[in-house]
Amino acid sequence: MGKFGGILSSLGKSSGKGSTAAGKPASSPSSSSAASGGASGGIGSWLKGAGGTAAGAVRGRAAAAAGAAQAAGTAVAYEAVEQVTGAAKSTSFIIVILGIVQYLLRLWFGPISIVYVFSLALFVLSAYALAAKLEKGKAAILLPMLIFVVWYFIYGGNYEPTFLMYFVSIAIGISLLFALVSKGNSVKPELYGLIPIVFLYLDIGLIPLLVEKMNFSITPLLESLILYMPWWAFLGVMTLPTESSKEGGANFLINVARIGGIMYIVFVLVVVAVPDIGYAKSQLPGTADFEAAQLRVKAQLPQKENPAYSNLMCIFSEPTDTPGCVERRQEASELKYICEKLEKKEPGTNEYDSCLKEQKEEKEKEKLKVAGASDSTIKEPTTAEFKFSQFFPKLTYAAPGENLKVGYPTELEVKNPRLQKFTVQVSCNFTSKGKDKESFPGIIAGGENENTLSVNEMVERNTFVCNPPDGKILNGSYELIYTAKISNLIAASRLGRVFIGKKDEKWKEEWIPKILSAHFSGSTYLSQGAPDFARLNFALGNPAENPIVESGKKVVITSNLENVGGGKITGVSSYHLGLENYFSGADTECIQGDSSNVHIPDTAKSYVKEVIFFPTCTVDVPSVWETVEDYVTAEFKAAAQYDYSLSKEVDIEVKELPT
Amino acid sequence: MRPIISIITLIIVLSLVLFITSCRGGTPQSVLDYNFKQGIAEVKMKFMDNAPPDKIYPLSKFKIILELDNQAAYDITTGKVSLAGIVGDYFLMEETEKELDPLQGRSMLNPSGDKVQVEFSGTSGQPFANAKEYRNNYYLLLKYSSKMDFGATVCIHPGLYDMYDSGCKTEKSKSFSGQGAPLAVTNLEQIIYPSGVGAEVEYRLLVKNRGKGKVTLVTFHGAKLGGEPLECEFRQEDGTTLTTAKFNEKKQEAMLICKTFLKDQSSYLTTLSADFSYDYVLEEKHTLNLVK
Repeated sequence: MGKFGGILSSLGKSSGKGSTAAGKPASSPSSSSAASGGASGGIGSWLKGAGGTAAGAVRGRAAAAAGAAQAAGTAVAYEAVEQVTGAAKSTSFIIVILGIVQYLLRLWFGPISIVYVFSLALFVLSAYALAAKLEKGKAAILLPMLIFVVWYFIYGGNYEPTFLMYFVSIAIGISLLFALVSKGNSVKPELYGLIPIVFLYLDIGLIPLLVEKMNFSITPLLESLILYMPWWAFLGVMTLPTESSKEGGANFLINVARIGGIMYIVFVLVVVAVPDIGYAKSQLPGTADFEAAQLRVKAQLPQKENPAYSNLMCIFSEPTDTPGCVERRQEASELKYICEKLEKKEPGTNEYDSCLKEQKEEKEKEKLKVAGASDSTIKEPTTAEFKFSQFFPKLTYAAPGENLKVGYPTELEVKNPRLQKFTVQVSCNFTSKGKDKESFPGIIAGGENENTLSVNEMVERNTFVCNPPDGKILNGSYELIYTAKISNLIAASRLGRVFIGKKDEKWKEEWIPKILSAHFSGSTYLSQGAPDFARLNFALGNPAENPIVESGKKVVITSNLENVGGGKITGVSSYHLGLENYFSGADTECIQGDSSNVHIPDTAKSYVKEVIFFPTCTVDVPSVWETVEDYVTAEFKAAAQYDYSLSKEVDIEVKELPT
Repeated sequence: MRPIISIITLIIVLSLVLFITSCRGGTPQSVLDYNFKQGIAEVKMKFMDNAPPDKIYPLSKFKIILELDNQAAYDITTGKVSLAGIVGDYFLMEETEKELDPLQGRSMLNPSGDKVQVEFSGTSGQPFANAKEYRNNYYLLLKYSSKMDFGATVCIHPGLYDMYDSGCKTEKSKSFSGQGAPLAVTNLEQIIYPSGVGAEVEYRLLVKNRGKGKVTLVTFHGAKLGGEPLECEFRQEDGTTLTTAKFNEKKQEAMLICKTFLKDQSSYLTTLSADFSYDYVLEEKHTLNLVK
């Protein structure tokens, strides 16, 4: 802390010294060289003399003007440099710049280690920036940050209640000790110290993790926060000093940064409701999980125009309907990206127009689908993962023409907590990365019987070795893709509903908020499915997503199977909503069916989430719930059997040994 | 340090004040003298220990046992306890509703009031799929009917312009702390209009729910001033008047208007009494936890 103490003692001084007066002006232009000569030679000579004088005067003025311009230019340049260096002395300004750099690096390169190092450096820098705002006890701002670092990195973010009891008590004890010794001056700095912790998590992907673990619905606001909010830069903007220096040296630049930052934030956050939040206990994942979650969520979100830019354009083009304009621009940019960048269609061609029309139809369909949520009570989903050991031969050498006999092994680990019975068939494929993109299937060692794994236990592991086909000589870089085709998986979901019979408006006004609060907090009004590869979403009500069902109205039953994993649904063999005992009048197809009722979309051409729709129908409320005294709660179960395909890519290279 | 010391000092002083003011002096009152029909009192509900248990394991039997203690000064005539919102897949209850026998209130003959235990039996299911737990919020509803009697001594002074009347002094308005029930007359207004050889007297009784639950309906059964019956009605929102008043979530009070005519005479003290019956609902939210 000695080093910190020395540095901290310099905090609080105004950052950026006042600039000196803008450079010295250039030396006075040389006085016009007066024409020599007096009045000799009469008028002619006089004129000559006068002309000479005038010319000299003009030359002098031109020289003076040039000199003045040069001086002004130098002064402006000097002022600009002063501005920048003055501003740079503000820690907050540095955080703004580095925050933007870090954000751009993440956007372009993903969660590489340098981005993580940036986050940690900004974490420490933000302490300085916040400490500048305090008058006393600045060093105490580091205390909660230090406690957090110890807890997160040394104790691995242990959240066990018994551990937390001791750790939190000790932390509080240390804080109180500081507070006593500093006579209460350390309380405010310690609270300030919590801010960098929050921003660290916001930056490395807390929101995307909440989307995955706690089922935030991805609203436009959340989308903006995930894609377009550079959190550290935001913190830097918020902590910019109101007056960087007494002499106003760097104020202009800092004020521009502040105003620009606030405007950006306002545009990004404009006009949306915050999603309904339902918190449940969750495990605290590592930073790698956060980063990975952020990437996964970003991958789910299509590439669209920056909402800030959309807002700006719409303010001028459609000032009376800016939100609608923004939504249309966002949708149009998304479709344009899909057809131009992904489908590689030339804009202006019939193929391009046809692609736009097709994607628009898919989007409309997506808007109508019923949503579901991951069941937060199911902590262990069914997973399958390809793993590679440190001995995986990413780079090998072969003599020219040598048929390399090294195989490419991968371990497939399947976790099956619900003890389902299914099979996994593994295959592999090589695709060269050279100019001639050659693609050919590999052979799993051992033959046809060895490429299948039967899963019956809670955890199954098997190693599959992929070899190039006989006679094929590998030379160069390849993308090796392992594919696991999983058959006969079961997606199970449950849906809660409340039947109130016939009630008057006063009863409904009093009781519906209570029922929603007691039984449908967060997203529990949606069907809850295990967070496996695919989730069966279903709903019934009027409208379908309304969890309160009244008598006298038709009830809509709707369902779909949604791909929530990283692979593809390749088939649906059956689906069954457990409603036949209650809703006897429902169409059979609506309640249950097999593959003949199911259309699997062409996922190669669909960039919205893969969703397989089942038939929808309407029914009456069951007679047993036509009249109830207070209300009745019921839970319905549903299941679907499906096939799934997962892939994992790995880059390999075979280099030819020199002869 | 200084702010902390100040806060601690304040807490100590407040505790002392609270302790001192709550002590009562004087000789204890006997049951015979004690007036049970005062203050606000109602039926108290509580669960018996471990019924239901904090954690219920799958496929096991459990009980929800509720103890009802009538602390009001009036009997409960008709009552029902019900459980709303329990999901049968996880907690299958044999019954979700039970009728209550009449429950006596506190009185001279029964100073502690009647207590009764209501039992609900159930069997638990299994959490969904491989979930480790399931939490089921539900409402415990106690609905009953009871009554409330109001009585107050009022000064009648029909001859308003008598300057030398040495009788009682009329009070325009009087407040009351309750009549030993959740429903209470909290305020009484007396308005006297000189009229001919006497005066028209109007009493306005503010009837309000002061309990933790909700009153749904209040019925007026009769009022007397001295020994003479009074004509009274509840004033409704639409201006009409009735002998019943419906209470709702937002409005838990009603105004009872009573009118009579008194002949000119000296002022005197007399009793104003009114009888009411009401329907009451007490609701509490609880949770059943199913854990593997």
